[in-house]
Amino acid sequence: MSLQEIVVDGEETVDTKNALISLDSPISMKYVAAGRIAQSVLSYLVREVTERRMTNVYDICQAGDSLIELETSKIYKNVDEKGVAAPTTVDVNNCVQGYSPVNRDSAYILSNGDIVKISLGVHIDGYTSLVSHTLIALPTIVPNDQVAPTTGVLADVICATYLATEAVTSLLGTVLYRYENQSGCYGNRPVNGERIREIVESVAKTFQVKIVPGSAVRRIKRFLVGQDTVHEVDVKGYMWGSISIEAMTDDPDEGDLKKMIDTEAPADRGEAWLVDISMCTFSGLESDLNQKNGLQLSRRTLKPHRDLKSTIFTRDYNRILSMKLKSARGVLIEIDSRKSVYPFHLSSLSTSGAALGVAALVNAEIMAPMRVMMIQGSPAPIAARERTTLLLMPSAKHVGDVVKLSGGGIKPSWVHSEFEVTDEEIIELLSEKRAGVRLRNIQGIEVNMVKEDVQEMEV
Amino acid sequence: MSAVTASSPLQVTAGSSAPSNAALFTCNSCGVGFPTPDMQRRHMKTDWHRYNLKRRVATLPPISAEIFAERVLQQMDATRKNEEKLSFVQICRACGNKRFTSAGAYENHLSSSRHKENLKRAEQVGLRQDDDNGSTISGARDHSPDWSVASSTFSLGEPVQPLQYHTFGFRDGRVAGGSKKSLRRHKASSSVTTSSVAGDDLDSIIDDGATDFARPSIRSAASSAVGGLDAEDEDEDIDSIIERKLQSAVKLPINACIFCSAQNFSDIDATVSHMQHDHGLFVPEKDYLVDLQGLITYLSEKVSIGNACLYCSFIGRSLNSVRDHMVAKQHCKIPHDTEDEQLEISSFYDFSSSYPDDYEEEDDWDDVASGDGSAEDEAETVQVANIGPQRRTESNLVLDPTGLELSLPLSRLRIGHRSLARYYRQSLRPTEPREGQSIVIAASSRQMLASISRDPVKERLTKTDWRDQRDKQNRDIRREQRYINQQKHYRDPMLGG
Repeated sequence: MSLQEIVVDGEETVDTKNALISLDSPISMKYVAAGRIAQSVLSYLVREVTERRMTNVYDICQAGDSLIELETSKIYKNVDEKGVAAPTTVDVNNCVQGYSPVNRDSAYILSNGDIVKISLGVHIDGYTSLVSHTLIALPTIVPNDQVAPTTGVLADVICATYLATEAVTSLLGTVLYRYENQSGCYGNRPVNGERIREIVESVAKTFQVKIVPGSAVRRIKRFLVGQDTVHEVDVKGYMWGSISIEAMTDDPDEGDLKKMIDTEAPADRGEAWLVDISMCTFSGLESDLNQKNGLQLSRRTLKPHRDLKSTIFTRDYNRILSMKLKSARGVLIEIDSRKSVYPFHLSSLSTSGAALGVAALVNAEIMAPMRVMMIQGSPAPIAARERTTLLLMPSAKHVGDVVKLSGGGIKPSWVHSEFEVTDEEIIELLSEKRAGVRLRNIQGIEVNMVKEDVQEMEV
Repeated sequence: MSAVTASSPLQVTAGSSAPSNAALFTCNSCGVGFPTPDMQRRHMKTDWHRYNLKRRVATLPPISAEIFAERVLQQMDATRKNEEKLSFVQICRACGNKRFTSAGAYENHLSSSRHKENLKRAEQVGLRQDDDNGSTISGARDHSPDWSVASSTFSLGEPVQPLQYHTFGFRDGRVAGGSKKSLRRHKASSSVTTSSVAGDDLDSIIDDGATDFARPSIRSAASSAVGGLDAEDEDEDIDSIIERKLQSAVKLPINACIFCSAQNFSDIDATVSHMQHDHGLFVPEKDYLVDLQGLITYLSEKVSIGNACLYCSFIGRSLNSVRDHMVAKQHCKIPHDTEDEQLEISSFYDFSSSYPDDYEEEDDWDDVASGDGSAEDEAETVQVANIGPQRRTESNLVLDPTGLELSLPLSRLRIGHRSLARYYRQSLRPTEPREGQSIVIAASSRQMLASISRDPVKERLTKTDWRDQRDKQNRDIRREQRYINQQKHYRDPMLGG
């Protein structure tokens, strides 16, 4: 077992496996490689969807996973733990997470005007890049300047999500910039979970949307990116509730927030942060809101889909049990030997009879399922989601820059919202200058998926 | 009217002229009557009555008391004569300790020519002679182990001296020269004593505090055979036996095998290794053995001179006989289990190095070098400390707080308790956790959320248990309702309600 932290003289800890020293250090290189692949695959999928070449969600998910596997297998040959960190999911409208079908025939087919959230994740040796993008499935393919932008609540929610993510990105970047004067400060206030929360909620308030539970802005580490099955301590950042059932206490509106995350600790350079913000339209019912935080949806409004079964699972390595069912044992052996600590898709298991075994494993709490979560309400709220991974990268030549591993450079949908950000600080963060923060977007590579590749991966 | 004494019963037989008005308590199997029930009861316990019962079973007519008494005397005479006959043992020393179990045979032997020849030869050798015939009255001085045990206790109450290994009263008290046959004879002789009515022997039995039947039987048998033999002669005989053994012993050199006729080994180690390999001899506590030569010599003398088996109490007639016995019975072993056995061979060992230390060694050593604490000097002092008797410091055992593990500091061994033996024997397939798994586990285990660590499976099971229990209670209550209020009358709890 390799320890991530080395205690020096019992006081200082040097986190050798997580500290980002410079862009060309091995850890950073792995992050960048993962980000590049995630970006490439995401761009490809977005293009396919917007250009109406892929409409069946099953195709999209399979394409995404296959591409990730293909690309990660080409690099870092000596690293054995790499690949999909989050299976490609396509969540539509009021679905917020977890939809990745196993059958093509029963899969959802995108229709016009759907708010489509494509999420995926890539990791190399535990260094993860998670990304999500929201787009509107449009009927025709026309250049944006020839068609009117979408307006209304759809526009509001998409704008809000996008802007909140951007603002937080810049905010985290200021950690580098102000380092010499006051570490982790922006505007004389530390950049910690509370500050992030302010920014995001301010945006949500402006656009009159609500934050979906499960949104989080948090620091991530190697192999630890906030999986359900890991109860991490010393997490920095802010979480708006939790979607996972384990974390839920008796009071559905009060998560184990204080215990799970430290909202006071400031961000620091050399860290990797995950920005995952989902916002949704508000149906109007006060009871749907979180009692403690009026800008957040109540956890009770999130329910698993009645018919759709979970197809994504995460192994809980804290539980070691032997299973009676032969198929369960077979699946468990395969998972323990080939799968990592990240969620995986059911179709990626090659053991026969996996479905039955998996059910037994879930029952025994050896695996945690990722349920297909829908927001209840009438009319059904629409949710938008943006997720990126950032590296607060110090540099020898300059203050450092925020490396947006994935998600940068993909343009948001053509929308227009009637609301505007009024907060000055946020405006500064969102401006071209980004309050002095240097931002680097990792560009994806051209991915041309050939049909033959797909066939290969599906075997 | 016939006189009726307290003990004699009135004869009641068919057609007797006893008065009918004598109120008799009769015994029908003996054909007698008694005036009081007490006398009848006493009669029932006697041997005579029992004998009559047996006769009745055998469909024989009963006999009277007088006749019965006569018969008893006859029987005792006969048995005594028999015993005397059986216990007759004469040993002709001159003819190589030849035994004669009957007087007739013995007489014949004395007059035989061979015996006379042997006599002549014995004279030449110079054996001591107790009587003209050159034989010794041994009587029940059987050369059996039991007797020899008796002889050791018989020696006028003096404790047996722990003799040196090269002399001949072995520490286990055996005196060489017996065989199994004599054992049986000896037992027969002791039974004479117990059943004899002769007052002398009875007294000797009663007086004797020790449960050593051998002792009085020696006396009785000896006295019956010769008419009084006192203790001195007995001791003398032991000495003479010892001497005889010494004289007739086959000298076993140190490079000869004790158990077989293999000889001319290069040295003592070769001999020992031959005995180990071919006869399975195990030399105990080799680490503490100081005098191997002495030990082997002692053992070989035990076998060659005393003709005694090392492992059991067998004593052969000759070296070959005891060798055969040891090889056949696989008694080529040095017994070292009981304390006595260990004591026997302890003079060849030195266990002082295994005694626990109770003082610091370092204090006893002078500093060889001036104490400026340099590494060199320390090394020197360490070297000095190593000279001298090696002290085992394994005595510094450390017991684990759970009591299930013992640490030996010197050899760095850890001994686990046998109650956990099944776990030590387990060989689980090693599951090497990969990087991700170990990191995840480490991160989770550091959680301070111990209070919230719920086991959902266990919770679910507990809930079903509670539900089942509750259902059971409900069922019981409903069932009880039929009869629980139907107590007819008051039941005091004290009186068993």
